[in-house]
Amino acid sequence: MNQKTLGQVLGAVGLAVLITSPILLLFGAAGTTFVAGQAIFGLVLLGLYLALDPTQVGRLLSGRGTFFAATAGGFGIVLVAALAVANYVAASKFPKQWDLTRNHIYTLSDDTQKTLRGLKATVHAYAFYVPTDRQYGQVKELLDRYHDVGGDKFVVEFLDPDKNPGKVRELGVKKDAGPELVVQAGRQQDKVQQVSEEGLTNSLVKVTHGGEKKIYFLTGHGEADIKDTGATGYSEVVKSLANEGVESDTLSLLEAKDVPPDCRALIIAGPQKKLLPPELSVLEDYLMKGGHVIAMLDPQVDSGLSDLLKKYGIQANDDEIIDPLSRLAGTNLDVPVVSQYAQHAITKGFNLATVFPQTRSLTALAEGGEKRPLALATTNPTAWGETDFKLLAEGRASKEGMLSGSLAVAVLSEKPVTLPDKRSAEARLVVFGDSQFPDNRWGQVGPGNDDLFMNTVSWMTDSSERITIRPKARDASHLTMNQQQMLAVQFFSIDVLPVVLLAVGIAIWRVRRSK
Amino acid sequence: MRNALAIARKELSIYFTTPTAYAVFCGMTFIAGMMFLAALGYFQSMSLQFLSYQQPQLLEHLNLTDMVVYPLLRNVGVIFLFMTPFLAMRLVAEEKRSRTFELLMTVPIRPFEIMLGKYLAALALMAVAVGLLGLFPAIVSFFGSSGTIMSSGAGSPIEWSTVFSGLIGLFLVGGAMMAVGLFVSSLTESVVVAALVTFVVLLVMWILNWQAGRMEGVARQVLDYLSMPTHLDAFAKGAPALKDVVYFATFMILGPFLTERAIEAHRWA
Repeated sequence: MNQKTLGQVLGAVGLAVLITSPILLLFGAAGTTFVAGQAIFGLVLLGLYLALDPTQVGRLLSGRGTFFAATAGGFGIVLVAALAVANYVAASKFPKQWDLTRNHIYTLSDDTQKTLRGLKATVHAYAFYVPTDRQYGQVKELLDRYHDVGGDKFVVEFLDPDKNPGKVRELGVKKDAGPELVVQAGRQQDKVQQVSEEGLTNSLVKVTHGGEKKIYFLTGHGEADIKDTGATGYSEVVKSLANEGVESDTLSLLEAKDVPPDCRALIIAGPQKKLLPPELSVLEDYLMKGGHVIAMLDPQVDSGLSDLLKKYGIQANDDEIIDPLSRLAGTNLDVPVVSQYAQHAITKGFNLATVFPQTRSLTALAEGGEKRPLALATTNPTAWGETDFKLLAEGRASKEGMLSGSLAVAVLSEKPVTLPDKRSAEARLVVFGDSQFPDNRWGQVGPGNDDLFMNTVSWMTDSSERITIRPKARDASHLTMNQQQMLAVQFFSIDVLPVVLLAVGIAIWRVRRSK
Repeated sequence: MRNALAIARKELSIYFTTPTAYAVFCGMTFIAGMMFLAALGYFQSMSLQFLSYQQPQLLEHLNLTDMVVYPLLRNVGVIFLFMTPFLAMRLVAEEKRSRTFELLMTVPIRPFEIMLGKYLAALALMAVAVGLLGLFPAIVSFFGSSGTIMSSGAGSPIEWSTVFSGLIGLFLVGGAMMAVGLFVSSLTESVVVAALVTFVVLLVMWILNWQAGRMEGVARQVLDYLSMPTHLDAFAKGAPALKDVVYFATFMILGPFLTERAIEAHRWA
């Protein structure tokens, strides 16, 4: 093989290698470095081609076509670059869309648009969906529409949970629970319950309007300590709350004289001494203005709250719940296991058992006209409220003459607020008959203990009203065809139409050929 | 301009006085007809199924535009993928093969006019194809009614605004494919090579989004954007965006420009 032929072969190989490199990159068959290496290899081969046959260079430079090729190539590159820029700008800077559907089904509702335009900080939407998920297309389309309106403030990221274990852990995504969509703004995050415009917009409102949520734990009467890492402390559950964006602090009403304005919920975690009258009046005033209070009242202790609770239709009974059935669950008689919950936002979809060590029973009083308090969690029907504490101290108990049946261990009361300088639209009060259930020890024992407490706090601190957005769809339409009509349509579609076209074609061809 | 129109007229007369266009359109309508009947049958069976559940609210979800016309228009894009290489292959390559190209170069017509005439003819051909496909929604509109079987509503059973949007989208897909075909045809003397190369290029543009599914982040977005079905889908569902128009316009500008350069190159070679 002479030098010239060798050069031509090398040149051909170089050209092929160079041309195919971007295609390889596009189809992800190789990494960027490999492709770049391949492109350079191609260029080297082309260089060899020119080096082995130097006359080519002269011919190339002096040829008539060189000037034309240079100008055409230069102009072509400019045009390609301009078109690429135009595509980039149209795709990312001007998200103009024409919704030509009759009901404007591809246009986001006014509420959503207002929420998206009002975004101050960047919101990330992490979609743990892979293209093989059934809902992938629908989710992508929805998120794209949000991105179009929200622009840089609404960042969408699709992640494969298997390839991003770090993000999965950070956002607390459960991998086995199917694909999930999580919205995150700063430290606030929310899992979108139902992937629809309504679900997504409400999550968006929740993570952005919330800001930093702050709750206060009352101190001064021997309540559970939020910093205590011992068995009776609350340090674990407070840490979990912090992960959900809820900041906890302590409050002494003897020093503060009033509940701070940033307080989303006040928690009274098992006072061991009576609250003083000035404290009680601050508390009553707080509730009347739409305050949110969680009171956890241990048995055999008079917290002095009973009058206030009665105004909200809740009676804390002076007893201790005994449930023989809890033996079966492996706990003591005085640690009832609870698995019956009322229909409420706090307990929605909640199916974990909770245990309440040494709890008193509560009674929801029927009050005329007002919204009836709701027994949120109740024991098994086998339980009773033991009032003979002397007998109990001896390790015995008797059902005789006691309040028995499914007893409430958590009661919830809501009251709309009409005062002008209100804190929220309604006063919310949840009373538990026990303050140990979410502590560092029992929070680990009961499968649902921590969750029940956290759900209650989250309902208490959630001030945003839910936005309702009706899903849009095209109007219904239907076909009324009988068998004959169906046959006619079939005949026309795959017979008459193509055959006529073919017949005309053949006819014209024959006629023209015979001329 | 008059020269361009004259060339377009000549090209069209070749298409319609030889069996090429008819054969291609025959195949197109036959396959589209099968797709149409399949969608129609599916709609019918869903209606019957929902009726037998005796849950009228399910019937509210049935819609002819969504369930018959939208899938049809999306799928027809695939027929175009096979069809346009055959229609575009001869545009320039045939002139070279039959040695009429030299003749064309000697008459006082600019390469731009040659290119424009040929591309206009190709677009006219696509318009006819889209017009033929418009018959299917018309059939649905004729036999369908608005509202559910239980309670008929007022208005058209077909959302014509969505259907027209889809047909325009199909026309743009055809135009973009023809632009690719025109350019490839101007590079070779063999019509077979022209058709084959065009088909491969279009197929790559069509299946890029398969690859997108395996990627993440920006790479997925770019591949998704580059692939044609993404943009046809936006038109077919009745919500085209500016980027979809710009995407197709890119092909329809770049293809003819490169063709013009390729024709001009013959003067310099």
